[in-house]
Amino acid sequence: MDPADLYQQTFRLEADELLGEIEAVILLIEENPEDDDAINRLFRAVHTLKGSGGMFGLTDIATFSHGLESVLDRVRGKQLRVTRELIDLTLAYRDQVAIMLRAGDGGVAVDRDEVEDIRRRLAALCPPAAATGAPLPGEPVSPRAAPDDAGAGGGASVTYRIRFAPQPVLFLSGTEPALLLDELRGLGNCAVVAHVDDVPSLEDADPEGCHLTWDILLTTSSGLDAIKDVFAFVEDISKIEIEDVSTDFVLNPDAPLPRLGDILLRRGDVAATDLHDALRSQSRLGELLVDGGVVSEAKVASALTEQQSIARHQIAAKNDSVRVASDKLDALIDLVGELVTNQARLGQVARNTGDMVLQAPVEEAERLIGELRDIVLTVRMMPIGATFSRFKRLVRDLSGDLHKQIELATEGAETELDKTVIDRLGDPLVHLIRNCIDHGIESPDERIRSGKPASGTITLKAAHQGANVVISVIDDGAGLDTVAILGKARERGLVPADGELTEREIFDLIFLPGFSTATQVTDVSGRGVGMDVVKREVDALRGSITVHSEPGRGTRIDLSLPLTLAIIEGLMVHVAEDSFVIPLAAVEECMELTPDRFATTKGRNVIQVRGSPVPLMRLRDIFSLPEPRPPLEQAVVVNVAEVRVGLAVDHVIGNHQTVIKSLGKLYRRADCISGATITGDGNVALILDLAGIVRSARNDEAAVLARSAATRRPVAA
Amino acid sequence: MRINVTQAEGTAVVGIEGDLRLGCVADAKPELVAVLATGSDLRLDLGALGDCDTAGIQLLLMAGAAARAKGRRCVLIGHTDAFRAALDRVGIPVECFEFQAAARDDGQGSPDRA
Repeated sequence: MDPADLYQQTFRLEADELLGEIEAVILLIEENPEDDDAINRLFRAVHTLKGSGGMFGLTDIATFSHGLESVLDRVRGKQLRVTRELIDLTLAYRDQVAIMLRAGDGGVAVDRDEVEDIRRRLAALCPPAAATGAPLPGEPVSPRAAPDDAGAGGGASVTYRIRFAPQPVLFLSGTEPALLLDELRGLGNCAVVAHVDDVPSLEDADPEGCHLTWDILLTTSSGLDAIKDVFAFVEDISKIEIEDVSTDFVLNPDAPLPRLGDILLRRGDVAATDLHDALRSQSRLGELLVDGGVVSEAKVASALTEQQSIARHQIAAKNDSVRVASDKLDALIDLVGELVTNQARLGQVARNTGDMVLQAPVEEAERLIGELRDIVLTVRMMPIGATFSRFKRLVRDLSGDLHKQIELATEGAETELDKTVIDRLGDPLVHLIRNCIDHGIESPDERIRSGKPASGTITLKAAHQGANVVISVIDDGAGLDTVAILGKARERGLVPADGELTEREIFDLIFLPGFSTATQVTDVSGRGVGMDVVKREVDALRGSITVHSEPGRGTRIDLSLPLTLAIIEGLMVHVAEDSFVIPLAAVEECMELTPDRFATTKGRNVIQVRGSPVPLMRLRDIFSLPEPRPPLEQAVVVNVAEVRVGLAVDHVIGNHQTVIKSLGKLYRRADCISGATITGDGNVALILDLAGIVRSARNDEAAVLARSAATRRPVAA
Repeated sequence: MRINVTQAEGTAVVGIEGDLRLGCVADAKPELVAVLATGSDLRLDLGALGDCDTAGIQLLLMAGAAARAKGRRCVLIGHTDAFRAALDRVGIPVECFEFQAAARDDGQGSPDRA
């Protein structure tokens, strides 16, 4: 890839994050216009966008950002107030920059008029009279960037090591070094160490000659030229070395701290042989070198300052993250998956040979691979908060369009979930929230009539539940209208006219394709597209949906999703010659299928589990596997979306690390299986899709009911 | 700038009054050299020191270097926060000087450091 492209791509990634930050923060400011902290964050984000936009040649973004930055600077300086107009303009700015970022690679073309309009309105917010912004009395006016610019993360901060060794004539040339150093401090974060070891003894010294030299470590975004400008008047009478040492500071946050000796060595303050001599005796290097007269205390102090400064930068960098392309992570996870599979085979071979010498290292490898797997899986985990905050904007805009007052509350934003799951969850959540806004929450008038606060609340909640994450979308609106849903379903022939449905079954109807009870199609929803998309996506993620609703009180939709899509803990079972894997997270218990636990009522198989009846299904029947059954079958009781089901199998084998392999397009429509895995002996085991099994069982039952209804009707007539 | 010297028990207490700047370091040098020539330990009293620029600080460093060369001590007393700030501004590590709290000075007279 062309390096320029690479930089632009990096900039886009960074810019996307900044745009997310801008959107989140402006909405915070909308809630609390006095939030100085948020205003500063917003300013910094826009400032950074401007700086790096300019640097990567995206001047239109830079100039566009400049307009907003000027306004925000006024707001920071309390010269302007946060207004509705400013918030709308900031959001419009954000959207336009998002378009500008994508316009280069085949996105929507930038609407120049729109951009110009926003720019004009922003300019109107800060009249030119205020633009000069008189400096506070007594405060020096610096023509260059203010000191906090570097701290504000402006663009690319670079750390320079500057060695300033003036000739003795410096003082008499009229230069006060303190002023030069002040000027450098004005450019950014600055650490200064003066070296005094060349200062001669008083008797034979010229006190008007400068015998000091300086090492300066400066982190700045102002650029090399700004530093050179500082030394412009002394460069003829000084030795000035400026070196970019940023790479020591930021590129490799996990690199070990550079050793003091290395820094001294690199700076040429100490020779390698002296260093090795010193290192040979076990004591603190700095003290040793000073005691040995090899290097002065000040030189060591200066090197120590640099070491500490690097340490600080490393800590800062560690708090950040390392950006890794997700396909690299995918490749890593695939490899670990292969490794886990291979380990299972190796384990089996080792057990079969019965060689004790082989067993021990194989078990050790198994433990290590297990740890590796766990760590690799957590690498893909991301907090769901970023996804949540995206919806603030959605709720704000939609509720405004529909003249409703709605607040979005979030809980558990720190809950971590596999990145793939998070990415694929975006659309379903948009549909669910749109539904809440359009159908769930009533208009302010209606709400007041039913004794509720005028403003409705939608709560987005995430929490861990075993190996699953449950994401809930809760509204305090009108609740689902079961009568209307059932009526509509009957009208469309989706359920038999006289079929009795439980509340849960009625709620499930809303997930049927094209199903909508809305009498009016709005821009937002009502077209009957949406909930089936949600259902499909959640199924594809091996998750499940449950709906709770209370008339007049609101609706709660829970999406239960697996933490990860790559590797799961499974329970291996055998039926006939075949192996199946049941996701362990869903397994409640295993039991022998003794005759006293087993009963058949109304053509349905039921087992007694701790005193309560649970429907039983035979995998042999589901997959049409050959008889005969073993004399004593096993039952695995699983819990799928709060429905307990028993699965009859021939043998329960045990725990199995299951690396999920997709089955490919041909098997896309295969019910009851969600994937496959390779077992230790090289065979393929199918992974059961429990939600699918429960669904097909329900359908069978509905068919049975319909048949029996059909046969009953002539009798009744 | 004025320099007052008082001798007591092998220690010369040198009070520096007023600003110590490039313009006066040349004048200060012979006075300090004279004190050093007596072979006493130096106590530089900075209690009445005004502004001190880089050349001024360097002069004090030179005095310290001279004392050490003679095997004598050079201790700073009565220094102010402003002096510390001046050191900081030029990046001179405080370790370059031997400080002693003024209060302790007339009491036990025991130095901070050996």
